[in-house]
Amino acid sequence: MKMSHVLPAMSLLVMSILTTACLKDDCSADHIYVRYDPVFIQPKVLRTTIQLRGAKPLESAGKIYVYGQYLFINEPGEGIHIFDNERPSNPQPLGFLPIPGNIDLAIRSDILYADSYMDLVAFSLKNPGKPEFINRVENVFPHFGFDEARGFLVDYAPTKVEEVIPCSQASGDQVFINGGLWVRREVALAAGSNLKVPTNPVGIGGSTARFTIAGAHLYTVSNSDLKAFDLSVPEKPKLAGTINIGWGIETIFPYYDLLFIGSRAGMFIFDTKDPLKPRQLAEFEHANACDPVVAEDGIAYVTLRSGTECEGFINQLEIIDVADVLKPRLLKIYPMHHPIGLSITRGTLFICEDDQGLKVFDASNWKDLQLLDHEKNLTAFDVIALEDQKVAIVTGETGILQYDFSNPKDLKLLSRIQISGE
Amino acid sequence: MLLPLGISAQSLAGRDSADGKGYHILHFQSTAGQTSWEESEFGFGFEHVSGISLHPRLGIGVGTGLNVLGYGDHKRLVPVFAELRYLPFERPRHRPFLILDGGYAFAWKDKAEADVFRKVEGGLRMHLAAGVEWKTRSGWALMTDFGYLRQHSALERNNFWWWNGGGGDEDFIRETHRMQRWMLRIGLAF
Repeated sequence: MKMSHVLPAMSLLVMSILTTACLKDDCSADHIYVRYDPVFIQPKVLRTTIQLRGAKPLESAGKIYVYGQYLFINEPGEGIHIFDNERPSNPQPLGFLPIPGNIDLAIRSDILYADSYMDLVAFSLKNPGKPEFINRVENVFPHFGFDEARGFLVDYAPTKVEEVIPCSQASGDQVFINGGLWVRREVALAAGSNLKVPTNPVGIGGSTARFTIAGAHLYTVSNSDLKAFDLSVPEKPKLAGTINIGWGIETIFPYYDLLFIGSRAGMFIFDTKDPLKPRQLAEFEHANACDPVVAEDGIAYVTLRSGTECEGFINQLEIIDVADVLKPRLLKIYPMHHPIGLSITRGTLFICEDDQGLKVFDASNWKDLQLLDHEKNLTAFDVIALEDQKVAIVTGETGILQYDFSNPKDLKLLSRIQISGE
Repeated sequence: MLLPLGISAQSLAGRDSADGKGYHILHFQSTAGQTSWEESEFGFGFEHVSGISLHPRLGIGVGTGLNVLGYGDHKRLVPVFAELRYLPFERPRHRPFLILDGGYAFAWKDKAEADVFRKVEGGLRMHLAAGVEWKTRSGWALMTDFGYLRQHSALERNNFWWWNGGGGDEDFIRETHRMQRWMLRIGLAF
């Protein structure tokens, strides 16, 4: 082969290398993400007297609270539906309390306490079917900032957006488009120098408060704080103290004179000997905020499931000896499908298994749980078992279902409060 | 003269005088271009074309091969194309030619990269080149051509970065790539 033949080829090769810049690929990315638009509310709009309105369809279900014969169902962000549940087979809607930003509630001594964005509101339940607004404690819960013109930044409304953008912009969680910052997941930042930016994604699109009543006190948790409210004058709740307890705080439930506070990292145990100044005793590593816990007679039942923000990957029920809460001891593990909420009453354990429905166990012997019944034709998220009435109230994908568990081996469906549109 | 592969070769030009005679060409190629991230990118590959001469100056064929245009399952492609070959002169040796081919290239997902690439798709291909054919006295031919390759492909990748762990099944990005390359080929006709 002559050099005169090879040389032109080599020259072309060199030239192509040197001229790569002349040819540039074009790449476009179909970018699907969630855009979070800030939600503002003016103080004068938020802080009006709240009045009961006529009953309306339930569009989504949050926390359920049973008070006597009445059922209070939170519709997250909107308010509380009230039902007369004297006959669980036929709950009667009584009305709707429109409470902007409401996520949680608790009732004590005929007073309903509820959050409304950054405020705590109180209603008299002298007539539980017709609550009357009586008080508001302002600025006790976190908000994201205040703008003089627009009011309080209280939430972020998610909108799914699909755009075609250059591939070079489509990477990571943050994208700069048109001078603004967009984020892909639950992290959302707001532009504007007058506004704080949330440093923790918990709270956006979910709860910013968790309530529980212990004794004569209301305890709430937000992302990082435990707050204690003095209810010695029930109509006038008073914020008595705030304790910073870390990050990723999400759940709280009382256990005798203790508070179990769930975070993403683990469970903190506080005692309430001084009710207005709870004191941390220990940290409990067997469960975290994503793992619902119930306890009875010194035994705690914890469900762990995959696919949560706590990045767990196992699905199981853990039985834990908490007779000495400072030294919890894992007793046994039962594999499960995808357990979520649970409830226990006098040795009967109810576990919501997501798309596999509701399972009922005889838990009188923790060493050998016996399956008594399995309601399969529902997707179950959470359950409250009412011993006195022998009624289990299940929050499911399609609504609120009530079951008679007089015979725990054969649950009877009593009623269903349908979620509108399902 | 036998090729290093041990295959007896006949020149393309030798057959041109007899229309309808077949030919086979094995190309080895290198590509050069710039990614959408403005980084130079080089690739390589090989293609085999089988064709017939319709006329002393015109041949048509079909080809396939393997092209690796760069990093990523969407840049590793198996093309299937039809080719048109034009030789403006009928000199018996050292003839220039023009090639136009077009077709579709297939891509596939590598299991080892399944965590990153959820799905890959091939796309249309177009190639235009000019070259020179050198025939040896023993009958086989060596060809060199230089041209432009345009190749489309697409992929879906997880929005996965080590610091965010990914957002689940719905957290993905679909990219449509339109690649442009200079392509230099050296071929053996037999």
